[in-house]
Amino acid sequence: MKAEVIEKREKAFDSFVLEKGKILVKQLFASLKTAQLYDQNNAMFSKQSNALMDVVNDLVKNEGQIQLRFKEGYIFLNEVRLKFGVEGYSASRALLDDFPKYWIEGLSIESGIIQRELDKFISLFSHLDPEKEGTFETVKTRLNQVGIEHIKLSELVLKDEDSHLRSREKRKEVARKTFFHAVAMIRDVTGYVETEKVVPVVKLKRAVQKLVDQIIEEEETFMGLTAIKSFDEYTYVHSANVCVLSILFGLRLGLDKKRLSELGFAALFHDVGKIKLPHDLIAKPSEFNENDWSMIKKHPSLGAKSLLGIRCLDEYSQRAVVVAFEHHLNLDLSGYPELTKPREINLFSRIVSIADAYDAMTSGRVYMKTPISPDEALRKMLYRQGKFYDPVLLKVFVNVVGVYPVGTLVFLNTSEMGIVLKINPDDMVRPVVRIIADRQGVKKSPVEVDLSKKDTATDEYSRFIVQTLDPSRYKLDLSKYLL
Amino acid sequence: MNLEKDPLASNGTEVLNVKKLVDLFVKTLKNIMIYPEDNPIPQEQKRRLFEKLTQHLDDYNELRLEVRNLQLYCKGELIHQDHKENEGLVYSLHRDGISEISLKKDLTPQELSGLLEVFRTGISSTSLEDDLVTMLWESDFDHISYKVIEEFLGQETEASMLDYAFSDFDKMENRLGIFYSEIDLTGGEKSEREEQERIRIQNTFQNIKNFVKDEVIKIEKLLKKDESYDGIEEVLSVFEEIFTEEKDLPGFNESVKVMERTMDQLLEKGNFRSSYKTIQLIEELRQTYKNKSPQRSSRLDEYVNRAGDSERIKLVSLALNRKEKPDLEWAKAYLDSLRWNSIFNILNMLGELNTYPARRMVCEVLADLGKEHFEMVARGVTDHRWYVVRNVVGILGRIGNPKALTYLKDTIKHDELQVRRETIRTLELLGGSEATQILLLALDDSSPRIRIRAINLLGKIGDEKVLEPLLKIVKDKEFKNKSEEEKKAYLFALAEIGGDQVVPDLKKIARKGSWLAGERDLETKVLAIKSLGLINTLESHNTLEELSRKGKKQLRAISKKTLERLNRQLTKDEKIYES
Repeated sequence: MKAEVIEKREKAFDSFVLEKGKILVKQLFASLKTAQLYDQNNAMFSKQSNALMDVVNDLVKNEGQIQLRFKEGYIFLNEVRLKFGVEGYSASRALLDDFPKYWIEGLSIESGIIQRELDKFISLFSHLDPEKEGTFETVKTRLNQVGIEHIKLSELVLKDEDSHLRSREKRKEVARKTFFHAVAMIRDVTGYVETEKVVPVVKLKRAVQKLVDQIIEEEETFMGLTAIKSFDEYTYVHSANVCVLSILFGLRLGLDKKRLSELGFAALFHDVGKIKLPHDLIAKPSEFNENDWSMIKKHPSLGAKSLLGIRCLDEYSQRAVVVAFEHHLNLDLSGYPELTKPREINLFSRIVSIADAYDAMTSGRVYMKTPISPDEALRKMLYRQGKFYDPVLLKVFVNVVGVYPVGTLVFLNTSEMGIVLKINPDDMVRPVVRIIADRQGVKKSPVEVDLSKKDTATDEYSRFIVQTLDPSRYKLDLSKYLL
Repeated sequence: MNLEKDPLASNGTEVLNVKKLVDLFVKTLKNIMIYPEDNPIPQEQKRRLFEKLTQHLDDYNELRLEVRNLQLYCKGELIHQDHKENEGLVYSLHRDGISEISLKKDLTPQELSGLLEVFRTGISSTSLEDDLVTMLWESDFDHISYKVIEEFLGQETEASMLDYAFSDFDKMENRLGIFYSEIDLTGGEKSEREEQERIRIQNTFQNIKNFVKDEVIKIEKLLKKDESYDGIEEVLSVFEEIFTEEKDLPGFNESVKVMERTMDQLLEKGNFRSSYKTIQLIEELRQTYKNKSPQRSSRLDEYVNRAGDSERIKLVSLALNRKEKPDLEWAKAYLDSLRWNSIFNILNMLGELNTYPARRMVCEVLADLGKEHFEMVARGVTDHRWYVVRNVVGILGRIGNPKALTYLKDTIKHDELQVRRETIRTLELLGGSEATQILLLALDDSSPRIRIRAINLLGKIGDEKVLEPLLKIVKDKEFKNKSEEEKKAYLFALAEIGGDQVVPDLKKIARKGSWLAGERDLETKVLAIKSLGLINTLESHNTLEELSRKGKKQLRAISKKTLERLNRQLTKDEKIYES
């Protein structure tokens, strides 16, 4: 068969698989979630499971069988990598998190499957406990016991060289290193720009690309890293934070890897113009006066000029120039610099502007001298939506960071103090929290609790967040708990 | 009997197969680099390569290649090495720090095409921005992976950041104590506060996780719009704002300098569209500042002048030569927007360009510029490179200015045949009796082709002043020794220009000589008879009739035939007229 014919067929096949794959993932997730609350006889359960059966039938009819694989932060359906935007993103992340807990790399659904068999699988899988049944063999045996024949699981086998890297701790360590390299990189590049040396653009791109790869695999770790605020390295850490937040944001929007790295690159250099301002001004502990502001307002243009001066006007730099110039322009074109002509704020600038404002508010350095809590920052931003920020993008951002973002220090109704470890996409006001202290003092061995889980006896939430706290007030080392 | 395969032997087969595949890959890549995209040769080779690769990957699951210096290895065996240093596939992989590349089972044709494209671009690119790693990474192949030798900037930040975090860790207990003492609230107050907080959060973040259809559509629109994002357009609009924002002259001049550098980069990349737009923007700004700030306007003026200096034009030439499919339309727009001071540099470009389409484009530019600044373009005829002179002569023809004749007097005598040929072509475009004087100079050209074209053109122009010199040549005893084609050109030209005036001369030629005259004489006579046929007047008819009755049988027959042809033509014309 001619290569072109194969290509054409593959393209048609890919688009079908991509479309149905997204529905499959969303429906599998919805079915598993519903099954946690309702039993197999419940109408809610049937509604979700029937919808799942429909898409399974469509795919089996066309493809013969369904092979789902969960690998390196991606879901593959019959060897086609599925891509998710705001719709289905949470579902895909949840499945990517859940299946490897049982050492499952993938599952295949074969022709001949019927609704009852699918219901059994959903019901069984939704009630598994990774603590007790966290091995592949256990799950496989349970499936056999209930007579599931048309759903086969494949085991997650790690190669020797990979297994070391793949361990949770090791992955976190790699993520942390990548993050701090980004910080180091922005510091070094600042020096290059300051002294008008040739900027090693290729190295910068590679570092951002690595960051993108790591973020795809370790979202939560990176979310946690952005919660660590440094006083000594504020400018650089802020840039790295904005870069990470923007990449996470872009990932949620469904941007491809190339655009993610362009976005990350632009975000990393959004504040580069500040190096052209007097250091004393940036580090000024008191509020800015009118003169200070007139200087500060120059940094977007100075940044754009500096980036144009790095002598590499490729797509990455072009994006960076525009973002550096626009990141303090509001959606209604208020803000600064003052414009002579109306312009439409670019998508990347809108993204970076939101990430920048959020990190600046929660760090409390240049513009707001006192930091505010993440939830308060989000509330303030939501209040300004439409005028300052694109409402729909801001909504996506809240979904990325959560109402209580990872790293938020929270005080619970139980008088316990905890750090948010992970957000629950389904219930954003009830994240997973690590309890680090109570009235008795700092916990020697902190425990993790999922605030979205109800007490089985009372069917009520036993713990909930009362307020958020400023970690810097307690000189809390978030990295100790998050990384 | 031991049925197990010998691992070494099995490896040997695999390695041998890989070697063949890599050879085929390199060959395919070379063809892709040589032939145009739609050529069947690389297409067919690509198809074969895909078939063989698929077969190999089905058998062995993976094809993994290690890059060591300038050599490729598979399972420790040398598979391939570049023949030349500093170029080729392995060199490019090594240069960009790729230490391993592997193709996996289920590789798709799109992925193979994508990989070949990455190498094609990566190998031929001289750009410092996009290396193979970036291109491979951006391609995001599912069944192709690679390893890169890491190289990072700065290393010390992590330690210094964490120092801060740990410094006050010991005090945490005390601070928490303070916190708990501060929040020692009574139960009633606490629950009320909790409730208020909960409601506040719920109100703010209600419906935050669900996206309604309109919101999804809005996001899709934003993403779709971003796909057609034009970075350079945006950068230029940023420039425009920056210029306006600059309140002091040094700042303004600094911005102009940055923009000049930017344009150099654009030209270097062959991004002529953006270069053109940059010039347009500068021109607009110059107009704006013309009355407001003469200093700024003058700096922008300088910018436009510099846009056509030798350095920038050199960048244009290099880009046009380097790029496989340069954007000639925008390159022309850029060159068209330059001023007269660039003419000499653009003329010089003609000698630098490798391809005909690029040279043709530059000729068009010069033809336009030459309408206003004719003398500057015409000066190009003195260039030491004949191919430049040829192009300039052609340009003079396009411009159509009669002043060009002054320069053509020299080029008609140029050493290079192609220049002389181009001169004739230009004279044809210019026409006029003045052109005939230059054409006469070509009659003793060493090349018969030039002579014949000149004679034909003289006939076409029809200036009677040239009859005398032409007749002089025709009547010369050496005339018969010229080629048939040249003689024909002369005699036909005489007929075209002279009409009845030359009938006696032609008659004389047709009858001249003895019965024993040779072939060449006979040839001349036949041509003279045919020329009489061209005149088609009463006198020429009478002469032909006379010739058809008297003289050599062969010549009589030709005269008769010519006459008949003329009569047939006459009847036909009459019929047309009557109808």
